[in-house]
Amino acid sequence: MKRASEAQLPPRPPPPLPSSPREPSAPSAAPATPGVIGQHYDVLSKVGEGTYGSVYKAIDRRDLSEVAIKRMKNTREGEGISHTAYREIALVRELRHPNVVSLKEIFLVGRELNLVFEFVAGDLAERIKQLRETHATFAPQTIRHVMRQLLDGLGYLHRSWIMHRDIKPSNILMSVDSHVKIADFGLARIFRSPLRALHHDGPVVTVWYRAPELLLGSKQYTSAVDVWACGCIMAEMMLTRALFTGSEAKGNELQQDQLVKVFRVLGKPRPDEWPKLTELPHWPQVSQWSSQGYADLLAQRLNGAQPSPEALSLLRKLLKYDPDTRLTTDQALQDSYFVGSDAHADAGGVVAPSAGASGR
Amino acid sequence: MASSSSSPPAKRYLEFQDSTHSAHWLLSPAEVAEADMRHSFSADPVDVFKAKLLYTQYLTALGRRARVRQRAVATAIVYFRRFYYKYSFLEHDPLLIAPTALWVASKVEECSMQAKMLVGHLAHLDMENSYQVHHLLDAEFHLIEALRFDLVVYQPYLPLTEYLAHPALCEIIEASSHENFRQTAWFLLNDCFRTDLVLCHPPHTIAQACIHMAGTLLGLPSSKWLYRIDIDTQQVEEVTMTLVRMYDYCSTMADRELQEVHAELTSIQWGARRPPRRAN
Repeated sequence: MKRASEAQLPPRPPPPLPSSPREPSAPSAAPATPGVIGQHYDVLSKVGEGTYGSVYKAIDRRDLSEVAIKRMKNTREGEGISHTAYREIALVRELRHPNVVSLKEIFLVGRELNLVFEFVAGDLAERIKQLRETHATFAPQTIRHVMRQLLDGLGYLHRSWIMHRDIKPSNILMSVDSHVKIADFGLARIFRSPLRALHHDGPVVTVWYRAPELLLGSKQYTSAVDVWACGCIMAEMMLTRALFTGSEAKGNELQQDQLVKVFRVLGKPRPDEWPKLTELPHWPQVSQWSSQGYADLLAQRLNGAQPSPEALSLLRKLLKYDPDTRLTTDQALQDSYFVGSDAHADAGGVVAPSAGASGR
Repeated sequence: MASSSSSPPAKRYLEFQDSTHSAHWLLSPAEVAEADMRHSFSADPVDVFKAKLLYTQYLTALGRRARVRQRAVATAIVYFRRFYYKYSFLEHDPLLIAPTALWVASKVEECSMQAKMLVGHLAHLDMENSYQVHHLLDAEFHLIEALRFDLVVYQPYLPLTEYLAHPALCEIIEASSHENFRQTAWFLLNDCFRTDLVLCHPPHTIAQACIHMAGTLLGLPSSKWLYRIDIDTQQVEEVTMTLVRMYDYCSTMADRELQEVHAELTSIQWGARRPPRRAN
C-alpha cells in the first residue's frame, strides 16, 4: 500500500543494532543506526523506516524519558525539504491535544531534520494484529474508549481547520493502557481558505480507508473523509480485520477493487440517498456496473462480533455514503453510543479473552 | 504515560493564543528597535527601516514575477523580518535570505514552486543576484532554524475579511461607500507589511486598525462598530500611529534613498558566500 509506513511502529522492533561509531550526516549511503542523535539522545533501536526517513526509539539523557525521533531524509534532489516534511513540521509544532501526538522538539544535524516526539509503545494496527493472531477480541468498552479518543482528537483537528487525510490503524498510536494519539501529519492540510485546490495534492488516504467520494474522483472533498476512515477503524476493531480490503490500482486509475469491496458490504450507492453522486467524475462509469451481488450486508458481516445496536447504528452513520450527511466528529461524540456510557469505566476496560465467536 | 488526570481540559480547537506565533513571535516595538540597533549595518536606525522596506518591495516584486500567491508573499515577508530580528544584515545577505523565505513560504502555504524556477526569476529581477539553487538549499536550513521551526504565520487577511463581512459593520456604512471602504482597508493592510507591525501585533489587532483607519480616512463611522466588539484600544491606536508615521516618512522619502541603502547593502562583503556577479 502507498505510504504505508509513515511513523508506524511495527510490532516487533528489531533488536538494537550494535551502536556504530557516531555517524555524521552521510546522505546517500544506507544509514546505519546511529548510537547518538544530536546532543541529548541515545538511540535504543530503529522502530520504523519509510520513504520519509527513519524512526528511532531513544532516551533523552536530560530526563531519561523515552522519545521517538523521526529523522527526515531529504527527498527530491534539488528541492530541499519536502512538502510533506513541511506539513508535518508546521502542524505538529502548533497542535496540543491529549489525543494528538506531541512534539518535544525539532533540531537539525547537518542537513537532516530530527523531529522528537513523545514515545508511545505501540499502535492500533499492531494491537489488532496481536488479537487476531491469538483469536482474541476487543472488549466493547475498549472499542468505545478508542473511538471516543480518536473522534476527540480528530474533532480538535477539524475544528482547527485541519484535515488529517491519512487516518488508519498504523497512524493511531496506542499505549498499553489504550491511550490513543493520532500521529503522522505528512498528508494533513489546513483547509480554511486553501491557496490550492485539494485535489491537486493527488490521492490521499490509504486505499482501504479511503472514503467513497475520493474513490469516485471527488475534487472538493471535506473533513468527512477522516470520519469515513474512523468508521472503517471501528469495524476493524470489531472484526480484528480490515473491513474493505481492496487492492490498490496504480496511478490515477479508478480504484475498482476497493469500490467493489465497499459495495459488497454497503450496497451500491444511489443518487436518492446521495444527491451529489451523479456529479462525481467516475460515477458515469461506475453507475453502469450491475447491482448484482451488492447489497447492504453490514449487519451480517459484523454478526460474529455481536455489536450492540448503538454501536451498529453509530457505525452506519460514520460509513454514510453521502459525505454531507455523514456524521461530523462532534455529532458522533453526541451519539447515544457514547452518551449513555461511562467514559471512565471504558478507560479501565481491558482486552477480553475470546468469547469463541471471533472467527471469520 | 500521559497522565490525563493532572492536565488541563483539552482545548476545543487551535486558537491564535496557543500558537507559536503568539508564544514566540509577538515582540515589543522596543525589542525590535533594540535588535535593529544591534544588527544594523549603519549608524542610522532609519537605514534598517529602509532596508526592510526595500526587501519587502523586493519580495513583492519577486512574488509577482514568480506568480506566488499574495498570502505566501506575506508569510515570506514575516519570515524575512523574523530572520533579521535574530540575525544581522552584516552576517547574512538579504539577497539570499529573501528568495529563500519566499521559497519556504510557498512550500508551507501549499503553492510551492521549483527552486530552479525561482532562481531563474532572481536573475531577471536583479543583475546583482546570482545565487543558485544550491545556495538556496543551504540557506533553507539556516532560515528555518532561525525561525525555530515555527512556520505557521497567522495573517491579518482572514480577520479583515471577516470584519468586512460583518452585518453590523455593513449596516453602519452606507451602501454606496462599501466598495471604497473595503478597498481602502485592504490597501492599508497590504501596507502594514512595509513595517514591523507584523512582528509586534496579533493579526486581528492589525485588521481592526485597518478598519479604524479606513473609516477615519474616508470620514465613515466604522470605529463606532469597532468599539462594540472586544478590542484592545491601545494596541489599535499603536498600529494606527505606526502606519501614519510610515506614510509620513515614505511621502518625504525619495526613491533615491532606497537605492542608496541598496548600494550600501550590496557593498557589504559577505565573505566568499556571495557568488560573483553575473556577466552581462
